[in-house]
Amino acid sequence: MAKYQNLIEELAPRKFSRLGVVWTIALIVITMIGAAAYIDQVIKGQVVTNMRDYVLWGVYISNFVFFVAISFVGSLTAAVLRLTNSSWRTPLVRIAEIIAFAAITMAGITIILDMGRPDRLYNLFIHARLQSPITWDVIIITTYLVISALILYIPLLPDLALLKKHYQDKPKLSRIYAWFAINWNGSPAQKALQSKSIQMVAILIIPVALILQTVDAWLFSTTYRIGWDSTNFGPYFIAGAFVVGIGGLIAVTYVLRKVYSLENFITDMHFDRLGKILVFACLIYLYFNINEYLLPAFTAPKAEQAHLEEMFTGHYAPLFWFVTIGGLIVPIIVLLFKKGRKPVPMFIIAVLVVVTSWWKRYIIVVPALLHPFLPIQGVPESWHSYFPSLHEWAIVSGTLAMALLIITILVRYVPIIPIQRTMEEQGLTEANENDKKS
Amino acid sequence: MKANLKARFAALILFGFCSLIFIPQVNAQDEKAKPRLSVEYHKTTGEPASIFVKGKFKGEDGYEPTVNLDVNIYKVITEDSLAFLGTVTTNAKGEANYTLPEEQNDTALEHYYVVKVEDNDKFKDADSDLMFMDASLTAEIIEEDSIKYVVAQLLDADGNPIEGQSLKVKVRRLFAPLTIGESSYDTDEDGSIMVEIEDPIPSKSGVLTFEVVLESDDYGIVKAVFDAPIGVVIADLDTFDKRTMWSPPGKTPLFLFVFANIIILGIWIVIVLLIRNIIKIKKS
Repeated sequence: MAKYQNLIEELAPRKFSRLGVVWTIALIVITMIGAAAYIDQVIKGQVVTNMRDYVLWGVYISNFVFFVAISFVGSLTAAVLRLTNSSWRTPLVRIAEIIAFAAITMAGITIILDMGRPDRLYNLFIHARLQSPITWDVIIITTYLVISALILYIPLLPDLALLKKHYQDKPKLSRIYAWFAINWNGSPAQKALQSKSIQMVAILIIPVALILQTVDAWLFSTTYRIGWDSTNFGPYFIAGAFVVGIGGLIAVTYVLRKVYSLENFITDMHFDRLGKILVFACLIYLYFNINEYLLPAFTAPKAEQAHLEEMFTGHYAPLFWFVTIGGLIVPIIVLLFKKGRKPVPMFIIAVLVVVTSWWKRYIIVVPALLHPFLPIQGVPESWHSYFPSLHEWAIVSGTLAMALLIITILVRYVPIIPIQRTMEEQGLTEANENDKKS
Repeated sequence: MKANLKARFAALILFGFCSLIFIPQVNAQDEKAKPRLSVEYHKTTGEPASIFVKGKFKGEDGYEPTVNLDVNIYKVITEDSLAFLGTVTTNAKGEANYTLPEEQNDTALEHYYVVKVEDNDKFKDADSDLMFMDASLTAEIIEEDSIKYVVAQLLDADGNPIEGQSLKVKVRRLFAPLTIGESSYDTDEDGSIMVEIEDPIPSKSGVLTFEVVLESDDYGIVKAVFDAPIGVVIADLDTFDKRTMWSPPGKTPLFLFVFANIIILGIWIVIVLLIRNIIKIKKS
């Protein structure tokens, strides 16, 4: 019984440490600053941003694409690992599901931030045209958000019931867990229903996640524009999302392992395997990058050449080479070696991958808009280039902080590592423990 | 001395009063604009002939059209005898058209008209005269050796051919007539021209409207307008009523409507089943 209780103690959500409190307050403050900047943007209009006639999709949309991308592999990895019944998945899937849920929630909110008149959101629904990729996007994000919530919630039921019992000395908290546990008692009928539901949602989320990334890519590639008009864009986005998703998962896993001392559950083996998946994802993404940039370099008309020159040697070259080398080449080289797949180097590489992935979305969105087919003429000089304004930075920082805040709050109240499943894997059930005792 | 001062003061007051009363009227008289009138004789075969008047004046922003200007039309009988025909009012472009009565459209060798602006509140008096000879223009399409031609003949009031006049051949299009062949053709001793229609001309209904135009100082603007069913009928490419990718929501292409809804329904049916399972777990 002691082992059983110890495991629950170890894996049950814990109060924030002092550092955790500071972290949470910092996130709330950044979110509030972002909210204040957004209110000012709504009052004054999008003139407070640096988006103008040409760059009309600025940092908000690149941030949106980043959120959509990072939400992808969280769920997909979890689903694939569940369906392939990989035994080492247990401590990772919930973290992946939490990241996915937070990211897709923020993706939906970011789209609204980009709208000049958010009060007209309903027009997206009442005037929806099924021919428009924007409509597909609205539908698929809503769908993916619901599925992400389900794939997080359904496997959580046994743990919620355990926590209800565990926090009996805290009636208020226990009641909340009881409400979410919906009478879970672990009966064979409930287990059969839960198992069937997990199987269903794990299968469902794979095509939906692929559709989500593809629709996101089609938002760009269905426009006849230099840099976006590519048949490669769907798989290119999926591969990129795979990279950033795994990167995000590694980074968050490392931090949680450190903060909650979960070294016994999340071992070096987990990082080693995640490292192998990341290097595989990076190699695939590198392949698509070569397709995306090398072929146009050979066949491109003048406008495309100008776009590529700006990326390879021009204004955006430092950023382009930073995201290519930092986000792909370095991770591939480091992670190919076993020593590179240890937790600390993996964490550094993962953070590098996530940061470069954010900037990668920026250089997908912005430079293409600065190369329209008709030359930019008769507009103020400042419209010839784009860099986000303070309002934009504040709002984007607010969304990133809010995503981390959602993860932080979920981690505070939801077991990071599935307790019930870990117990089953270790042969520790309440009944077994009672039997041993008798 | 005091009386003298009073008289001077009274005179000053009187002068000031008169100035207030009369000076604006004098200015108003001065502010009348001088209109410039141009007059043309228009005649289209099969339609009544008309006198076209266009007026303009020099305003603050350069030449402006004389809007709502009444213009009197007179026929000159002898040098000092005018017969009043009627009045026309110019439109927003400063243009007006006076349709000549049939009895005025006679076969006299020369016709002489005067148009006048008289007793107008805003414009000074002005006039312009118009002298022309009557001519008639006929045109048709003929076909020789599978080649189509526009043939036109210009005759004077006595039915004699008029030689050496420039005729323009055009086909009417959506916004403006399109010239066929060269910019103009001179009539021969028979008063005729013959212009080949080189390329097939597309048309929505297959019927083309041609016009042959004489623009002459002596004869005015004389036109022969006629339809000919020789256009190449174009396929109707209008997609307004069709289901296309750029149509409104009610006209979504069927394949997209069906497949997109199958995918959406397929996914959401599974989601509903999952929620039902959660409810079942709760009740079990």
